[in-house]
Amino acid sequence: MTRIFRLTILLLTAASLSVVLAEPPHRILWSWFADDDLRFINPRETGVGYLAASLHIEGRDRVLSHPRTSPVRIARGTYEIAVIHIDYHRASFTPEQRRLVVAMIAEIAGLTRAPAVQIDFDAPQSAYPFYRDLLRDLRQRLGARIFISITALVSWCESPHSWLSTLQVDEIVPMPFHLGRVTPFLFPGCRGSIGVSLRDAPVFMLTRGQRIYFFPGPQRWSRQSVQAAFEEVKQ
Amino acid sequence: MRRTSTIVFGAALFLFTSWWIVRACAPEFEVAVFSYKRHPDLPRAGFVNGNLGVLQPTFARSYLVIAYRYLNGAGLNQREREQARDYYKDRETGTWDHVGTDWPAKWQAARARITSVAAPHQTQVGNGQQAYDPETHSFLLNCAEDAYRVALHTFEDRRNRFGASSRAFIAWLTAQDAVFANCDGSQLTIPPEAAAGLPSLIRADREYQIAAANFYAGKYQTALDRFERIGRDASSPWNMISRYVVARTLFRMTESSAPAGAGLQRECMRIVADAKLVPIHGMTLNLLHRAGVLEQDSAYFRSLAILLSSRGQDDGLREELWNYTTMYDKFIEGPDPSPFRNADLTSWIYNFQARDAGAEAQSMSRWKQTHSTPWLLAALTHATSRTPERADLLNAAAHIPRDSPGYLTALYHADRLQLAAGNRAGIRDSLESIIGDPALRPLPSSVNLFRGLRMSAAPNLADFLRSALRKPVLITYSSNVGEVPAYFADPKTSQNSAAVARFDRDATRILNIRTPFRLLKETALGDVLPVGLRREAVMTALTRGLLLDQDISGIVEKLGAAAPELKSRVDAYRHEDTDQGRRFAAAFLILGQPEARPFFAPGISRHTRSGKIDSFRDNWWCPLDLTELYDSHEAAVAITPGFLTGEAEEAEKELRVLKRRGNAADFLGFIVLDYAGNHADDPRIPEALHDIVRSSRYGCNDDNTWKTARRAFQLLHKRYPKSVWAGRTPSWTKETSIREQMKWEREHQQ
Repeated sequence: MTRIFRLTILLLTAASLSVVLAEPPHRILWSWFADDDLRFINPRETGVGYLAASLHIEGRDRVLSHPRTSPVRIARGTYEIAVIHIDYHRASFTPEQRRLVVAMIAEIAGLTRAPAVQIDFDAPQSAYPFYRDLLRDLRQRLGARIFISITALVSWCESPHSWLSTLQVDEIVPMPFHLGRVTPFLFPGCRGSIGVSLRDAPVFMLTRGQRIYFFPGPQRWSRQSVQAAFEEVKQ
Repeated sequence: MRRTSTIVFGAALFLFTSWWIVRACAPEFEVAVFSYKRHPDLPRAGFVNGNLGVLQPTFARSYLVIAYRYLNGAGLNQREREQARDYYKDRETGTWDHVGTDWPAKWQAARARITSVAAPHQTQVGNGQQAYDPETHSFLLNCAEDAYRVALHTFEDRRNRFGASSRAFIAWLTAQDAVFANCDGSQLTIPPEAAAGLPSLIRADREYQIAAANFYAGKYQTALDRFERIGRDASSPWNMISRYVVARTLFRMTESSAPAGAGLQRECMRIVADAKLVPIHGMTLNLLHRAGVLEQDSAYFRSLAILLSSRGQDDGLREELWNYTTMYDKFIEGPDPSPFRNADLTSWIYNFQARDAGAEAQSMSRWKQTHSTPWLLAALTHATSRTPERADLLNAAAHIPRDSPGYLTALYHADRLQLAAGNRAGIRDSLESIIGDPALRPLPSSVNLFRGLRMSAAPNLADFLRSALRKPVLITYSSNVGEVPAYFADPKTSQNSAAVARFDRDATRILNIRTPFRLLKETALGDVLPVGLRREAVMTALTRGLLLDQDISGIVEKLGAAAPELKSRVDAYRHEDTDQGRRFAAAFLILGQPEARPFFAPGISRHTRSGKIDSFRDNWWCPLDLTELYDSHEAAVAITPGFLTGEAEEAEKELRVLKRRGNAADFLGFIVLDYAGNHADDPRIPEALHDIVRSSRYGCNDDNTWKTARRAFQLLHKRYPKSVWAGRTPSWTKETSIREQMKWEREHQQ
């Protein structure tokens, strides 16, 4: 019995070290443009969302890809989120562009083998249907096993009937950067997670159990800045 | 290491291209460019093919390198021309020429046309070229575009040689697909050894393809062994390039921390020491440069100059141009001039561009030593009518054959020297002939330069005016120092057309400084000029005539015919029967026209319509020393037409008078206040006084202008307090910002 118990403990310990969580942990460090080395973080408590590529939608049929070129080193076993930033210029948001964007995101998911993707985008109101359909197609393409997260403007979260309610995603991360203290969002889907910029902390209202994404600003992450960010949140 | 070099290259690319895209926050004014100064005529295909036009010392140095190659007989072969185009693509100017230089896209387009073998899937995120590195979660450029260029050329050759549906070609294509399948790093795909029955060329290709596939797959040791073997195989067409790729593989191994640094340097030096490998010398040296071995090395700078002057640079030219121009920029900022003497190309560029006496002496000395075309052009560019070797230079220029790349530059400077020596009639026909030559149609900048000479050869005023008119090659913004063709969005949004003939600076200099009022009046009354310029000529002559106290009645009549909206003020002038009355009427006319000034402005002369105040204070005129409008270089190279040589005294006398007259508000204010003194009942006076205050605000003013404005203001409010013009003139000011003044004006008018 004791041997079985010991074996079980050993197996559980091994599993906890090698198997990544099904859902992101409650603290995620965003790594955007900097050359980051995040191998020092505790993978059981903290995940990493790294910008994997920027996609630029332009004209009627163009989607230009700018993959990440600066390295980010992450310890094995850390929960990884491949972030895809999407911007646009004189874009028509056509079905062909939707197809290309979905294919590119799926490619990134395949290459990185990250358990989660996060789409960071801004959208004019006219592009809401485009993103709604895009996220639907992406869900079909990636299947239920890949966690799909999106970032959101605060204004999208300020109505209980937000357009976000139509999106097939696992998580919405509002980003009240530079906006000062905010009251809980009227749209319930926006309350589970929040993105904070280190330069703003702690001017936002946090709620218990919320997943927090930390944006470091233009600088690289360091042990000190990670610790300081977590301390700020505790307070 | 690899990442570092990528970053350094990226930073260098930004630094050396960013000046094209840096745009000022200050107001932008449209300007007309009549001859490009930074680059040759567009598209640059003609220049890259050796049709150099008239070379300018102000051209970017890469163009002078290309020019030097043509002038010394090396020229550019087909591959070097491609390399030159790719270099300009790197400089983010590739789109100027509308030639496709996107080799991966070209490869994919060519590949897609072969439907008998399905084109392989290609990742879209990394454009098929970038490989994902799971260690760093980032993408690295694995297959550079040069790989696609070489593949495309081989594709075309093998298809033409064996046929698109041949077994040989299909075998080559299938293997090439396998090579490129490694580019995105997602799979390892090595083509199999070639079947024995395939042609020997395809088998040799396959050897290279297998080595390349290993290289892109990161199997560097295997790639190295295979490239070395091909390098030893004299029968392989890939023999020479494999020697270079061996070094390149060692470089990648160095980047990936494998112990290959010393081997890389040794291999590179072995290549450079082998005279049979000249075509890969440049790219090999570039590799050492990228490896940081040759940074700041003046011997390397010299080697690059020698390579860039030599034939057979082939696929190395692009990087040689990059490294050479980058090092040139570094050296020229340093205190040590010796790097500019250690190679003929460098010395030529330095002396061709410099404008000092030392450069002139060195150019002359080098021409006497070498009698080469590049140095003849350098010496000609510096020469003036006082140069002792002028006759020898002219003689040498006359012997440059018409099909020489240096012909137009030599002809231009020879004609310039002839003109400066007074031989105007002798070269007039020659200039007419060259300007009308259909072969110069792709070289509008050069044609405009020859037009400038033709203008100075004019025998009379009408001929001068006709040849002074030139169409710009570009309408752009003043901040566009790089003469980028599409600087701001759509050029069609410009309010000024490049199709309209205008005056360049050399023409306005002659008109403003060398031409007496008598001939300016003739210009205004004549019909040589196009409509837009004719009105400017009329207003210029009218203003200058008033300033010089000359008879301007004929000019006012002409203005009345050209500008019906001025009818009432023109009629008022006609009805005056005293000199004082006519002067007042003319001043009143000019006060209503802020575009009025006693001189011509080059290119786009003003950015605001006639009769409207310009927001940036380009209204009326400032105190006038017209010679200050032009710099000393313009003065040095200016050639006054022969018909004006007898007018010099009269023109200079008038310039002295103009200089004493002061700015518009003071000069016109004096006339108005003088007239108002004894014509209190004239209904035009209140408006004229208002106009004086207005011109002091929106025009040029100096320390005393406010006194004129105050006098006008006080008289207006004292004598005509209930007039509408007094109401529209609530204050006078010494000086406020132009924005505040415009705001004041708008609010007040409402």
